[in-house]
Amino acid sequence: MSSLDLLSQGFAIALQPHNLFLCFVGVFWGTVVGVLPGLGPLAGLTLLLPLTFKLDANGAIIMLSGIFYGAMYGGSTTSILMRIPGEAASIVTCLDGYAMARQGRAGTALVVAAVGSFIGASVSIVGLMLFAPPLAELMVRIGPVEELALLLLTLMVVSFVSQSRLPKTAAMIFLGFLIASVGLDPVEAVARYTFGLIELTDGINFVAIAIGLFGISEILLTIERIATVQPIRPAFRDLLPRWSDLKASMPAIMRGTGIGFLFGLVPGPSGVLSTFTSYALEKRISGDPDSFGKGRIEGVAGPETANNATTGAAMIPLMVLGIPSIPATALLLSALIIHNVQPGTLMIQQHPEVFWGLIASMYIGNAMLLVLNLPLVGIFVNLLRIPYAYLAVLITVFCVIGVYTLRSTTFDIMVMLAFGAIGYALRKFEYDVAPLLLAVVLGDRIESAFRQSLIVTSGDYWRLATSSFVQAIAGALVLILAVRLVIRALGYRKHDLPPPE
Amino acid sequence: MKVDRRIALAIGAALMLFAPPAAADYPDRPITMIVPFGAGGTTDVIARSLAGALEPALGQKIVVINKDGAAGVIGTTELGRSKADGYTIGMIPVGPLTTQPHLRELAYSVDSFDYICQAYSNPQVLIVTTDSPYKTLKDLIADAKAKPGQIRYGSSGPGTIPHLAMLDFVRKAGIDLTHVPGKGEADAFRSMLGGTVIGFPVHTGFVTANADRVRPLAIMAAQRRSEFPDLPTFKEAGLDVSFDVWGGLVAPKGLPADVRSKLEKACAAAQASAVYREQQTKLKMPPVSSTGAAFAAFVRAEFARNGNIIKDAGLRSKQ
Amino acid sequence: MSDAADPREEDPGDEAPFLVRVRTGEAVIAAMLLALAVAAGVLAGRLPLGTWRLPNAGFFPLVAAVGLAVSSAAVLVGAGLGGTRGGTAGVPIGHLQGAALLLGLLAVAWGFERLGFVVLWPVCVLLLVLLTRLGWLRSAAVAGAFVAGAYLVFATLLGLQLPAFVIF
Repeated sequence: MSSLDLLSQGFAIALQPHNLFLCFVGVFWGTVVGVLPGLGPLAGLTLLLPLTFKLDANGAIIMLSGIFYGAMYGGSTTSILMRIPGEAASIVTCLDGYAMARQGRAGTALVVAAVGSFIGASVSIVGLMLFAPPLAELMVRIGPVEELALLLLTLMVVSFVSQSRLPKTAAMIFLGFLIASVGLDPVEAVARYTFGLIELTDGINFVAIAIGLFGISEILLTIERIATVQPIRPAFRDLLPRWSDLKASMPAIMRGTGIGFLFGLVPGPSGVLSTFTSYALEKRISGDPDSFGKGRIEGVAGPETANNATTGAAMIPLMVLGIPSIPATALLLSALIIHNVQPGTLMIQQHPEVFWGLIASMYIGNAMLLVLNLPLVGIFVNLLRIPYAYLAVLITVFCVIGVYTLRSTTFDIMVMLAFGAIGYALRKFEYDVAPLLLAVVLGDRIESAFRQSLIVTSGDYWRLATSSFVQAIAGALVLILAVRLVIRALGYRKHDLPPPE
Repeated sequence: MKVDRRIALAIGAALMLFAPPAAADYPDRPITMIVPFGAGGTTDVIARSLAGALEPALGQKIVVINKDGAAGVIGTTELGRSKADGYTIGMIPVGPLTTQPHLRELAYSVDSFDYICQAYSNPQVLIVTTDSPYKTLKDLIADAKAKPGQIRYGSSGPGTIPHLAMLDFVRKAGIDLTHVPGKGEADAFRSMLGGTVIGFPVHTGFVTANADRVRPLAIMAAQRRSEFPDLPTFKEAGLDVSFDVWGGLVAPKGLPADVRSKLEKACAAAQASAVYREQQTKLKMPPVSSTGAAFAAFVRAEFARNGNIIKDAGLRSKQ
Repeated sequence: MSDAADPREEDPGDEAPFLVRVRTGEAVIAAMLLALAVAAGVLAGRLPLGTWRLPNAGFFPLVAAVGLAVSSAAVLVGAGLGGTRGGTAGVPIGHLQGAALLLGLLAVAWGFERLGFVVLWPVCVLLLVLLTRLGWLRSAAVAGAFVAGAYLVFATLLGLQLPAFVIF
């Protein structure tokens, strides 16, 4: 049977009224948890998981995956409105999205994020449908050596993203590595920097760090000049993006789609890798990198698209091999097990209706999300009319609730608070917190990839450096550096100057 | 004075109202069940399924709470600190009960709990890829003897049951293999498919679900299992390697005797119920039934055995 | 990057307790990072380090600590040589509102599981009093309604695992 036949059968399943309804419930609920600061896809899935026990396997997976991509969609909203990244993948969206919101262009940012998300997700679903099995084979071939090379490459990309000077950026990256080292080491399970606290055994909770560094520090910076902060009153025409904004976004969306899908194939924190890379790319190829971080629409369009394109790609190892790449997809798996569908390499063969029903419902769900989100933009934007004093209280309470529910421990509230203060001090004196956060995310992946690589090659660094994949990446790097040098030699030094005083 | 006495009496009467009810009424309010792992994991799914079956048996609602973190230690510590009144129980798996206390300094030990019943138990199977040169356990041992230290195996993490099982196997077979720990079962599976490791121990349900990509070599159980009649045990190869991933209903030490027997009976009734049986079959969990003293003895034996393996391998953390 | 709030802008009507020059603040943070790096490096040195060919638990944190030490030292040197970069005007820090928020959050962290969800109420009251012109009474009412509403939505309606509203 051809894929097209199977897909049309999938649509027959997904279009059944009750599945259509479940899909709507899923994306709606996903949007809600995505929009609430501190709650992410994981919390959304956990809360509705017991409900799915009463459904059939198709309905359950359709609803739960709806929550998953709905929440990824909604995650950008808090980044843009409040500078609170709901999950790692929406860190970059905070940078230009929030700046746009403060300029009264939140509507534009939200609309472009929604459209970009829709395009990115749709393209990646097509990719999932057409190429899932061969891509899954490719993904499996990415061993620790290749992973290490990719991670290091991404880290170098950060130096393009950062606006502070190199020593400061480097200090932030190494500080991030130190923070990532807290907890048990990945190979021998030796406790590091835990000071006997069992709460630190798993390391410091990333979401608490992110909300502290970005969200709480932003509140701290803003409330101290509360007298001068005016509520934003967006005019109606600002709700809709201007033609020039759309024109500027479209190429970024296209590039974001490609980057997102490719990085989705990398195991681990692919959402972070793809969004940062997309941002760096947009910044590099724009004529005016200094304007990034101050409200460039491309800085929202590219990463948001990449994020949602990654989401589709992240379903590939899940569906083809039963390998979840992030905690949220692991939860999708357990829902399948409850319904007697064993996730694993045999799943597509044994339960084609689940796979194709899911694909079809993802098309439908993404269209629903677009229709659902565009009218909501008006409501979200009007939230900004609330005077910031009230908004600050509101956000603080939401952050406490969100951070507490992650692991039901007040320890994480302390972590959020500490990193709020740290973020405040760092930002006051022009240290960049984005590379710090990225290094925290990537730190333990880099360490375990590095140590696994050495185990695999018996400590042979030469073999590490000469693996064909590493050579390809090194080649790419040399090319990038060469281009930069040439540009420099030609005298276009403007881009590399420190931020204006 | 008189007035004071009356007040004292009134306070006394009021206190009586709030005093903990006699255990005979147990349970007269909802019971909390702590699960030391996140929602949606194996432990959680089984805990919720058992909680559902326990509710009719106890006539009270059971609230499942996930206290995830530190390989189950955070939730288990909290259970150990709870009041031993039967209103806080836990679904605690093998790791936090029998390996973590050996791996690091903890606020609880195997003696901190009363053991109510075992809820599930699933033997580990050593798997390799279908195109692996190893067709039997003997092939693997022979090759490992020829190339000491050059063959790499995976696990779902350092100090986990699959890791301990491999350590025990390696020691008893007198071979030398290199460990490449993963982050969870899926990560180990990816390493195996990508060729980083030759294989790893995993539960039986995984073998069925990935039958086209996975070749089971031998099962770490006393006897062959009815689901895998052709799969030999380690024992048949002359190696006494037997490892299960299990979990059970556990309460803080010092339950009143009648509360304890009520819980034990309720657990037995729940496990015998048709609904629970059906759910266990779906989850590919072989039925188990071991309550009270028998379960406690089993936990202690596992605790001692795993402790020895951890000591021999020098896995205990210095901090 | 992208600090929407430019720290150097004038703050009329709001007294800044401390004024710190950018270069000074930058150097102080760099010095603290350097101290942290040294401490972390010493602690990492006590862990098993392994060898170059087979690094152990202490290896990666030690590399990170050395990296942090070198880069923060570079920032320190740079700050010393930086001339008047960043201007001589001070960056105002240490406002009352921020301190109140941090202390409030500390109180929440302490009391959330001891006193219950209600511990958010006084914190919100304090913030409203400091940030708005509502006055104590109206702040208490607004904060009370908001905290109760949040509890209703998150605990009762959504069923999140949160402490009881009031713990006796």
